[in-house]
Amino acid sequence: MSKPPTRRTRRTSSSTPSKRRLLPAFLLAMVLPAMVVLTVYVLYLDHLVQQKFEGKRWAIPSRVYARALELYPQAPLSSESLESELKLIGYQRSSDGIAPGSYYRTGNTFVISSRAFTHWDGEEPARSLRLTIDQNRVTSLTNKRNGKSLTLARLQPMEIGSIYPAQKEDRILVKLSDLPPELISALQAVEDRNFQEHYGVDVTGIARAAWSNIRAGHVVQGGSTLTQQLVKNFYLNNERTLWRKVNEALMALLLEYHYSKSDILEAYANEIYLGQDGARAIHGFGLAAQFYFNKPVQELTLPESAMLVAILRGPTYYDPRRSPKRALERRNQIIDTLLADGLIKQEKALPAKQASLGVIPKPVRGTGLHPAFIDLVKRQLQKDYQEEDLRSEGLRIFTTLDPIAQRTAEQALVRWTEKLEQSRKLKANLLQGSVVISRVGSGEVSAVVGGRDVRFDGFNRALDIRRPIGSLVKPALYLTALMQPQTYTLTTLLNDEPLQLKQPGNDKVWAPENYDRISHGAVPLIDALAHSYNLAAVNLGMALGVNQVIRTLRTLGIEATIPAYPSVLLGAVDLSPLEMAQMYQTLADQGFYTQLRAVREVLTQDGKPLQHFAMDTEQRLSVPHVYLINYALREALRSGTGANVAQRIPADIELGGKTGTTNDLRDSWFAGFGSEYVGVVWMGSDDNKVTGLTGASGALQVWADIMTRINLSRGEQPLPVDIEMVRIDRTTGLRADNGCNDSARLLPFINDTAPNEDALCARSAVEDTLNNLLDNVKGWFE
Amino acid sequence: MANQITKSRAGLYLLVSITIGAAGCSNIPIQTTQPAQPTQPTQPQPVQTQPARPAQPTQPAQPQSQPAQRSAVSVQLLAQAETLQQSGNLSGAIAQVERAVRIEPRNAYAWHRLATLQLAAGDLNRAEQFARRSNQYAAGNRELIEANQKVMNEVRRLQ
Repeated sequence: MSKPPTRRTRRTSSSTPSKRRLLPAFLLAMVLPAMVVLTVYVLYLDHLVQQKFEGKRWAIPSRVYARALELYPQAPLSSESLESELKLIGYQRSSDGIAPGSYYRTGNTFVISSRAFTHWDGEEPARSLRLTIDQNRVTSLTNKRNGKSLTLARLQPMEIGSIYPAQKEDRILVKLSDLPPELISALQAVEDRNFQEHYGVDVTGIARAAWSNIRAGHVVQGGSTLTQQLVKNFYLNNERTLWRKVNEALMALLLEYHYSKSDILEAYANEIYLGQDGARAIHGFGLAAQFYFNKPVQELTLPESAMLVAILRGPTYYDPRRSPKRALERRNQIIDTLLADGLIKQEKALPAKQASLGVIPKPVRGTGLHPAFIDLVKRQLQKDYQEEDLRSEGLRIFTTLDPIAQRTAEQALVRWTEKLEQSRKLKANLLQGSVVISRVGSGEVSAVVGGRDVRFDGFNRALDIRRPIGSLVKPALYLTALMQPQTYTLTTLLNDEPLQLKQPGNDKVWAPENYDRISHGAVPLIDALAHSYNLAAVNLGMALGVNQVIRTLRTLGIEATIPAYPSVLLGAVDLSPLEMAQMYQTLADQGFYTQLRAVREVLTQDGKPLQHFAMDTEQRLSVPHVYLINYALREALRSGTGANVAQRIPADIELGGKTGTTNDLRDSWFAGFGSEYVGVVWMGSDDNKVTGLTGASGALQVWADIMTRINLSRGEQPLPVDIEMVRIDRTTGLRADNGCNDSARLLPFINDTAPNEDALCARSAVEDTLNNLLDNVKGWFE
Repeated sequence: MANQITKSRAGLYLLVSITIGAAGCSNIPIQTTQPAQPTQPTQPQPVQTQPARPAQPTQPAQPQSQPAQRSAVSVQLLAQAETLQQSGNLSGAIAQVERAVRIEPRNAYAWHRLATLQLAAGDLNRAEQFARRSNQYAAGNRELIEANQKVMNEVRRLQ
């Protein structure tokens, strides 16, 4: 609450000494105890009234916000994404974009009147922006009022949900000064005409109500004052007894005795019940304005204010979504009353009555919007907060959720699971899946999808499912090799030949196979990874030592204990999509480990910083080593196991990653990254049935859909200082040059580790050049 | 006694942050956004300027800002951070630079500033790691690499 309730100073009444009279003993015996009992009772009520009004009046759920969208020239952003973000934060499209919280779009140019917002790290004023987008990039950003260019602006963050108190009452606290005057006058005109005069109970009001009720033959008017209504909702239960009525009246009088009219009105404005959203009860005008009109209460128009006053008489009966006709009638009655009372003028009343209801479709809110992400938020916060505080202290939690990425991920997963079930004639709803998306650089989680039913707040397959990771393990294996640059480079030939291994602990012989059941002989390391050859991987892994590979996994951020079996080399280890995201995050950040996080900042209800989750990072691997493996992962996507989506990826967007397929085609994985985002997709079935999907035919499709939509900027990485690019002949793995155009490719090497020997094609080219030179030289002397 | 040590340490951090902050902000020449050139005089090895991508016949021009260059956004946020730091609001300054890093995760200057601010705040571990992170994107910018080295030297001295 904004300010403590002001106590009324009450003049002390001077009691006039009454004449002493002798009373009969029996009267004394009857009246005195009754008086004492009554006094004690009133004192008790008085205590109740004050205690609750002075203390924390309501358990306020914590509000959870998404990241705020940053707007600046050159920002990677598509017009579609901007428009959906604007809709998500409740901005309305209009013909000019002048009203606060509205926008106007023509083609790729937007005019936005943004609302002011207190971000955790500073205030953002309300602005009038003009912004142009071209080819997925903001090309100009100006202040629409003066035409000056702007360096940086940000929109308010979308509210993605709340963490509720046990009784599921929800409200957004407002101050009296936030309420439009028309709302206050409508409330009083309809509910309690004498509010400003009475002492809590309004005798003339009761009489008037009784008279109207008698005339009408049924109850048309209530005689309760706003104070009584507040008492009823705030202190008492719903019993309809005379005793409760007496209590209500007494408490109303006490409340008025202690507190000012404006304190009572403000409490009323926050307490009043105005609707139901599933299990969540909508209380107060602040939340109701959001719930029905998707705007802050300050921006309510006259007909909208009248609508809220109409609803409070019977939130179910006058529900504008269910009974729009009835609600509209009631709203217009209220506007008529305002007109009749001279509170508004005719020229305002008419258009207000003609206005449509303007009620938005019921928003999917609360934890219901992105439950899997909120789940991650709760887990991060549970290390520092009691569940009870999250539910009742009205904390403002600023998270890292990117609504655009989240929606894109949800839609891609839903679309592909349906599509694949149809095209592959799978049983309906056999396929499940999950997605984790995070930001390169900060390790902030942008999106979490916990299953196909994206609104389902239950089993979270992104965080809690643990499945064999298959070939997703291989970058750790090859990285272990590349960390010894004198022994292994991207062109080192590996042995893709069959082998048999004894598993420790039992006598079973393990004979791994390639997916295509063919052995490929001597294969360059980069191709063994790109094509995910199992035999080359196991041969290499056994040479390096299983423990070394497990150590690399740990370095990359996998904290689970992994038993040292050779089969780990092919990913026979059960891990979650979130753990995979952590591993690939470290790769994307070139060996810098940053624990994935979903929360940036927690503020108290009144905006004081409570906890800042400072950015963090830890260099665990040498940048050039990781550079090599990342190069190979890009190659894997372009021409290796990921090649079937390569043509869908714009040529200038750098993406890389690895497929994972487990035995008998049960689990389908893809993990990878671009310049902006890391993404992991798992697909499979809940009861571990065969899905027939490889990493490429399942998860990769989803991944590519998401990444091509969100990772809009190209990923030019500066070459690390210790890396040189060398042209290599594909067939021999030796140095190539212009003479080897067809078979040459450019590959990175740690300085002084590239092959010294020239390939045949190169040597002939060198000879040609030499001959030419000699000819020229000869020419000079001829 | 313990108090004194903390005090003198705090003074030291301040001193360090001022010297390094100055190094980070004034001595390093500001590069403006420009298309990448095939050879840059500051880079000793011409091979380094080759783009990191599979061999392709044509390489598109690079209109976007390069990691070690200063964009208008980061210049503005880093200037705000500077003002906040000078008024003694370290956490406010850090928040501004974190915002810059979120917007441009490969901005070597922003990471460097985060390092100097954490050094000033006495978080040696973060200071060191952010300086390393800055080097990761420094792309051969000697002044910046030297400034990061200074941070790391200070961290070592204070540890």
